[in-house]
Amino acid sequence: MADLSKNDEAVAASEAEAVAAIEAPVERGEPILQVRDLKKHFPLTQGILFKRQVGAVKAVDGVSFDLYQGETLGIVGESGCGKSTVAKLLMNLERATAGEVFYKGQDITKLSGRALKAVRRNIQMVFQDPYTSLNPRMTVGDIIGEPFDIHPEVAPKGDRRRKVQELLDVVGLNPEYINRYPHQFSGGQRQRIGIARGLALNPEIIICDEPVSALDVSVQAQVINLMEKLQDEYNLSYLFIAHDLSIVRHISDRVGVMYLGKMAEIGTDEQIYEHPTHPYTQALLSAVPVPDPEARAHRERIILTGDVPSPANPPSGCSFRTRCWKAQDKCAEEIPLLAIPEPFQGKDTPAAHFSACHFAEEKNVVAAH
Amino acid sequence: MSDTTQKTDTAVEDPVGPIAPAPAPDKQDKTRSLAQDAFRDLVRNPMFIVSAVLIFGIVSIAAFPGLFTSVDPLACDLKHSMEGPSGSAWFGYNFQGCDVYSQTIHGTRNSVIVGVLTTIFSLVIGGLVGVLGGFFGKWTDALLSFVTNVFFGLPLLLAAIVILNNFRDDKGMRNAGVMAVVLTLTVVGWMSMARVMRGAVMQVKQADYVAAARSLGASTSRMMFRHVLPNSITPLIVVATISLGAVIGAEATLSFLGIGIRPPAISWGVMISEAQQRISSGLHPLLFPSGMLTITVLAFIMLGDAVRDAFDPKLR
Amino acid sequence: MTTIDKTASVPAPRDGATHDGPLLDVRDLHVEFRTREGVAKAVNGVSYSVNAGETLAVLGESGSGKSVTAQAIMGILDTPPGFVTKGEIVFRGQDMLKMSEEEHRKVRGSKIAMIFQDALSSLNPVLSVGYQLGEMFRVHQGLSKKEAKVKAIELMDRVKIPAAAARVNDYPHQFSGGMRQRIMIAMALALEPDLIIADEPTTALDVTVQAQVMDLLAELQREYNMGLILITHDLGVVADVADKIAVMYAGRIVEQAPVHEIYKRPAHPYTKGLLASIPRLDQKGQELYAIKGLPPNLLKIPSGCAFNPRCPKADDVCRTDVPALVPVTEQDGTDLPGRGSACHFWKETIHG
Repeated sequence: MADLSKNDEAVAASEAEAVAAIEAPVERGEPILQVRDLKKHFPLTQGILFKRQVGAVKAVDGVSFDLYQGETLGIVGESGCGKSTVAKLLMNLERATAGEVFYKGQDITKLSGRALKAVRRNIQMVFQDPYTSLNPRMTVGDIIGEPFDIHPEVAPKGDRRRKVQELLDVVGLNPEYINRYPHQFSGGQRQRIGIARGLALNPEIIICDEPVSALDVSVQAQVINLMEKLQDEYNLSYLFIAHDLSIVRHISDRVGVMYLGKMAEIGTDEQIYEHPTHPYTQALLSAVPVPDPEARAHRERIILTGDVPSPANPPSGCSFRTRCWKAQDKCAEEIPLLAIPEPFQGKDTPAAHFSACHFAEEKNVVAAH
Repeated sequence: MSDTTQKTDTAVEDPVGPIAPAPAPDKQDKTRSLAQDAFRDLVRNPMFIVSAVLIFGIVSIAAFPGLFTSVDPLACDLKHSMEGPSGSAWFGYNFQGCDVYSQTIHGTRNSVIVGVLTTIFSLVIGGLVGVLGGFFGKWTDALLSFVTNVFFGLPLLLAAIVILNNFRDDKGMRNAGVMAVVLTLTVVGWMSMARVMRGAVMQVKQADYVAAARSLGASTSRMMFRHVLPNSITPLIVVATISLGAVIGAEATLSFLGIGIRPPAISWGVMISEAQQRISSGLHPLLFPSGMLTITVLAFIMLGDAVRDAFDPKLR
Repeated sequence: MTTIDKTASVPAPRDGATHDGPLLDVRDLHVEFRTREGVAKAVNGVSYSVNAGETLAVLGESGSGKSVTAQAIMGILDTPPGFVTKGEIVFRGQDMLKMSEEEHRKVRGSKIAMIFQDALSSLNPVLSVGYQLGEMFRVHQGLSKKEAKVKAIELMDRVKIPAAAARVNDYPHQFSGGMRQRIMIAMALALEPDLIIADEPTTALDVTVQAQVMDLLAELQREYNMGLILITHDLGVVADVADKIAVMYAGRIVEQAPVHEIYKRPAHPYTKGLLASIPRLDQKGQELYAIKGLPPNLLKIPSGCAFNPRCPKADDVCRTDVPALVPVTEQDGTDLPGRGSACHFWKETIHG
């Protein structure tokens, strides 16, 4: 008995320590989130009652990056590359198979209870589909007020209605809409409601999973502007996951390119867009339709053959080699590491950034416009 | 917004508009809950009013049959056998010469009790099993699904005979009371509700708003009762209102086989099964209890419909 | 401008059909949806035309009526609630709205084909793709099962599906998104139609696959000299493949122009706003230009010009008078062939 309570005390003490660390502020420009070799493998099973594992979908397979305080890190990639799974792992909506996510020195993949709840206050998410991310049976007031129900210490009960109305105002919605239901709003307005919910607890990090891809073109710009404004006002750090390369470039300070569960290339927006060294990045950039008919004649396009291989059965070595025009024997044998490629090491060139390719070379594929 | 307009790209999606001034009428300066909204909607729904009045009437008959007839349902006289409706016996007499009207009135209680209680018990058990299995998944679901399937494997008659055979009166005769019938029908009837609920819960669980609640740090009970349950209960309510009628019918089957409620106890089921055997000699002893049964089932289905609509904000 | 000639000239009709003018000519089409909430005016007087071998891009947001127009052309409008209340859809000189059900069905089966956004839900999951492709030949040309299968393999080769003969018996779910879209294209091509309507054909695909599919579509179009109506919301896709563009807003065409012209000098504030809201390199760190407000509710389209509540140029006249689609000219009055704008202030917009 005595042993047990002692044990409990120890747990409580370490939990309190964790909570204290989580609530401490972080300087601007310091890493606030450090992701190290993060993996998520979904087991493939056979059998109904007695399941046995027959393989695994390697949705995320060893991803590392830092998110700095106050910056926007864009993550781009095609469907199935694992970018949304990364978001879920960072939100602790999925348990990581391996790897660490350090938030202010605490590995959040191992936290639970009070400490995890404290982390959740500080890391919030904006979802892709504004039609499924809001509970249709709750009023806007209940939806935006729910964070306060879960974390009552943030706002005293009598204050909540005012807080919710403030939040509606901040995201550009009429505060009188508090009693309406989500279906009474258009897509763009719903996304604003989702953003207001994300802001309610004053988080430090917001993870945005394709926040504008479900919206009409003319509304996308409004939401992007709102997000940039809020970042300045509330000093937020964004992890901005999207497939629209031009929007990612507009909003991001740094960009990571993912392919088949791995980070192919990461660097500042200029390094990635103007000086890509990974062939996949080059192909991706060149394939983006450019809203300029003049460019279509003299644009060099790299059209990849085939589709993205299945993450349940990725190619050996470099996972991009099956579609790569540079692939050689080495690519099938050796997994390229995410590092500054040898030719650029120690050189003061924008091409000297992290790229996971054996034969990295610079190639500017985007016509400057 | 109806489904059709959504599908056809007309996107009648925005009755609000940011520039439009907030509508002044019925603006309460208080955050309303869904339940309050639903209630306001219900009392304005004619379908709800009609069904509520009907159910109130039926429940009154069940509670106080003496208010509606002074004739003893068991005072039968064979000389009236199969006499048609008349001033003294509005629904006529049955084969045994009993007053059909009086029997129908006095049979209401047993039928309604069997129907309502069985449905409620099945709803609770099935709903609970479905929610737990659907929400937690993995081994919980495997276990609960297994149990559900085992019960599904039980044939109604076999289960009924096994259970009801154990109920005997003080003389040792087989005689099941109302509660025994409720128990039996619940045992063989809750599984479809569990299946429906499980499916709905599994679907709703995937929704982003549940993930959103989880990422806010919401507790399991909060996710279950605030997010998953309200969005998955609709199909269950529909199944329940429909099964109410089926339950009353099943009670009749058991009576017909002689293992359910038995004469001299009266229920619509008993009356229908008796009248069925002598359908060639006269239709009226069958018609009136069947009519009451139909009205009752209809009333509950209408109630279920109205309640479902009221709790669906999309239809508001 | 050499580019203008392209749209002005009418290529000779294919297989010597006896009609003059464009392949498809939509004239003053009106479609409304009668719903519980009221009448939603989805299409309010749309006119456009496509020639053989030409690509018309119809650009618009959800609710602009771009897909509804296509459904009306294909005769697959859900009726009720949708009704064509006015207008003509002239295909090779014949008004399809006046045809009998049987004639209409024949035309839409063999002469006009449609490609949908979501290939997975457009294919039957329990039938092999070979069977579904072959069905076209069995039903329309009365081929035997064996012959139809050979034709199906041929088609799959056509749309560059690798190992077609080996995969002809596979089911839709065994193909990737890009391959499924190719199968859809193959189905549309089966009877060598004169016109293909593609409704957001690449929206659901990944960028690198999008390029493949668009290239394939363009190549096949050239080969068969087909007309193509490309319905999309993506200004990038349009710039890559279209010859001319019709921009739709609230069920009307608000601007119409050859593709090079419109990107250089938009003549309608809505088009101008859309182009301006594309993130550009030199605007990094600044606010994006955003069209204010929301797309209109079709149950109550604003009076006058439907765009007026969101328009920076709106004046009193915009709130009262519906602007007609008028020809756009140079400042000195020189014609700009193929250009039109439905704005009271088009002069200021294009030249100002």
